[in-house]
Amino acid sequence: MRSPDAQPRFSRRQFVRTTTAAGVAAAAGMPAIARARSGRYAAPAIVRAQDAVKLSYFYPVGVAGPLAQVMQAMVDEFNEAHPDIEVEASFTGSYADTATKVQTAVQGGNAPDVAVLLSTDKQTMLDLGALFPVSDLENDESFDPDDFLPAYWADTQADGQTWCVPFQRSTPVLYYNKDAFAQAELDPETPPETWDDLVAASRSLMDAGATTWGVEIPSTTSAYWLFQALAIQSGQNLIGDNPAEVFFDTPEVVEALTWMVGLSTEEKVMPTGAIDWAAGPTDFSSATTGFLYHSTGSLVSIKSQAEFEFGTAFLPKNKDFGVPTGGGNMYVFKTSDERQQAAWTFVQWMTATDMATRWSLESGYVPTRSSVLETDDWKAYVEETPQATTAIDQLEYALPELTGHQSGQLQKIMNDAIQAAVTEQSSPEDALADAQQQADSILSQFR
Amino acid sequence: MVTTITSPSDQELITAPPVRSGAGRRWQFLTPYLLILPGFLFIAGFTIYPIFLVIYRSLTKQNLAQPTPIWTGLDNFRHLASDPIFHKVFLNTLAYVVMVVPASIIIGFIFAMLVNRSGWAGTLMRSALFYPIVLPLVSVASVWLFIMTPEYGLLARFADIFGMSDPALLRSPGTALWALAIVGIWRQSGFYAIFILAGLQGIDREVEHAARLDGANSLRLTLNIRLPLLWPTLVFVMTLAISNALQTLDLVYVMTDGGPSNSTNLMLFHIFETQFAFTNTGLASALSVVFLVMIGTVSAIQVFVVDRLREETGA
Repeated sequence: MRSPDAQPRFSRRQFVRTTTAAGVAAAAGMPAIARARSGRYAAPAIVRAQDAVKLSYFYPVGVAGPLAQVMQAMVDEFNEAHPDIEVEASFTGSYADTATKVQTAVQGGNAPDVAVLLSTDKQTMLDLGALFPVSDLENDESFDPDDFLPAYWADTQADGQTWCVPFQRSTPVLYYNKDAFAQAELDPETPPETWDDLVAASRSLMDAGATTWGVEIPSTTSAYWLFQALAIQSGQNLIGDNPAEVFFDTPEVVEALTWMVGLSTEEKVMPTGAIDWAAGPTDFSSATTGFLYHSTGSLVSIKSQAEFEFGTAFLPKNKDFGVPTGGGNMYVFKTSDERQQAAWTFVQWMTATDMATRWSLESGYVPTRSSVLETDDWKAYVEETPQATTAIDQLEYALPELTGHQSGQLQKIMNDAIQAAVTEQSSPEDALADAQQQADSILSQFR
Repeated sequence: MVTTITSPSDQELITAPPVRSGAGRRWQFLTPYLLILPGFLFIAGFTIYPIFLVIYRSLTKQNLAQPTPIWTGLDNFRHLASDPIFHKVFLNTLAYVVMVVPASIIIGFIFAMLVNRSGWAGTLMRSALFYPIVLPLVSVASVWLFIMTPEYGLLARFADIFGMSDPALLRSPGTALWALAIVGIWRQSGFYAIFILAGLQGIDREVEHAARLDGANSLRLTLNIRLPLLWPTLVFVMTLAISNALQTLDLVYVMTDGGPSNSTNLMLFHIFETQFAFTNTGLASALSVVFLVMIGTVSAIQVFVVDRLREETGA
């Protein structure tokens, strides 16, 4: 097809004819080659595509790296393999942006068919009445719920039904710069195990001039998630079993925040102020910081950027090791019977062992199914990237991520408290007491 | 060759026969209303109706816990009166206006004086002034975010080269709002310069020449002649600047997400988040009503003050 931009003297009629044909062919999800042909050749495809079910699919990218391209490639393959279904994928920003867009769309009566949202968004979506339980839909033969890792499958359940499928799951891990370790005469194979070890190692790195800063624990975007790990390590998860209850101001949580703030103010091994989530991986790859708390989903991007040897380790323990699970599940929304079933076909295809393996290898997300760990691709990958196994081993200490009614708002309240403390606007005690009060005033409406 | 042109004389036009029939008179009466009807319907549907709807909703409770609205009177406003986050957002918004408006108008005025000349240099400079406002704000914010990102942003690198410590503007609540204000000023001042320039060029040359003859130097000319004559333009620009500053959303959304610790959370962003991220329709409507009053006040000042000034200065 000749582009009208390249041919200014293209006649109006030609322009309309060509662009219409191309537009229809493009809308029909034709492979690029068919799209490039003239309208005449594309005609049979239009006939074929007329009864295809069209699905809209929203997805975020929550970690570093060009994952949107990988996602589009996978969706294109699905469309090629399923002539009767046509998925249109839309990149919708961060997790929070995506949740906002989905909520707006649902309230406008225009819900997407499938979306990747945080596992913690389940309760909010249920409160909105937006989801369709996938356990009520017809499974492919190959679909096996027992194959998913139990720590991740647990997040998909509510009211005795399955509402979503684990897709891109993660835990936070500790990234550390092995070259800087060697420079500071630390053993690169012995990452710090406790909070005290971490502070001591950070100081050694800085004293040796190996890195500008010892450690960064980001305090924007997913700050509540990293902080939740510190709280769990101190002996108190921020949530319990009741979706209308949170524990933001218990002594253990205060201890965790006090330690985090102290890294900047007392120990001076972390930059002061609110450290940006998205800048974390760049700061680590440029050896600005020797340690980084971040999602395992940033592994592939860090690996491609860092020009030094680095390792991953469990987040150091206080009383015990501990992390929240994290990342996104695929949700199917209430639409029509036909579209729900088509959406379920798509979700099963995207979460099947081969696609799950590919997604983990391309991103660094933790495999969602045990069968992924048996594939040759995964084994070869681990050989080359031993850092990838840390997160799987760490799952033993994993607890559910901060969720509940109005989880997005709870997460913001927690982020605000963390930011107020690290920027020294208020003491950890006051910030957390404030947060508890705000959370209670919201959650009391659901009790 | 002689051509005779016949045309109705003025007299004939004026004494054209008046419409006599009843239907015709009705049409004559209705025509103006019919002509404004499409515009009126548009404003009624997209401005007046939503205003009443938002006022009604501000008096109800509607959120995820209470999906069907229930009447709660002034509860939402009582909640706002005691809500520390709203207080912070309100003060942030006023602070942002104070940071951005005077600075961008003063800079705009200086720009206008500099480019108030003809020739290609003036044209070039006028285009340069105009371009920040035509760029999409989201891309502008992304570029500035890159400049201001601590550790590896352009600003941090420059500070490093000159041996200064990283200003890390976006990391601290004390400086993050200033960081947004800098972008706001950069974007808006050229735009205001265009208005002020138009005002300057509207000043009668003879007044300036007369002042020059009386021995006024450039400073005097600016202070005693140009500024007073520009006053209506400046008030207009000021109200425009205030309402633009009040409506800042994209910068917050892209650069800070309202943080750290709500220090850059501005009214419109807070409304957006309350409604679309937290689905609290009642509270978001109450916030919108407060916002409406703020914007309404600024518009009223413009309508009344500008008109009065126009009359006084005869501009």
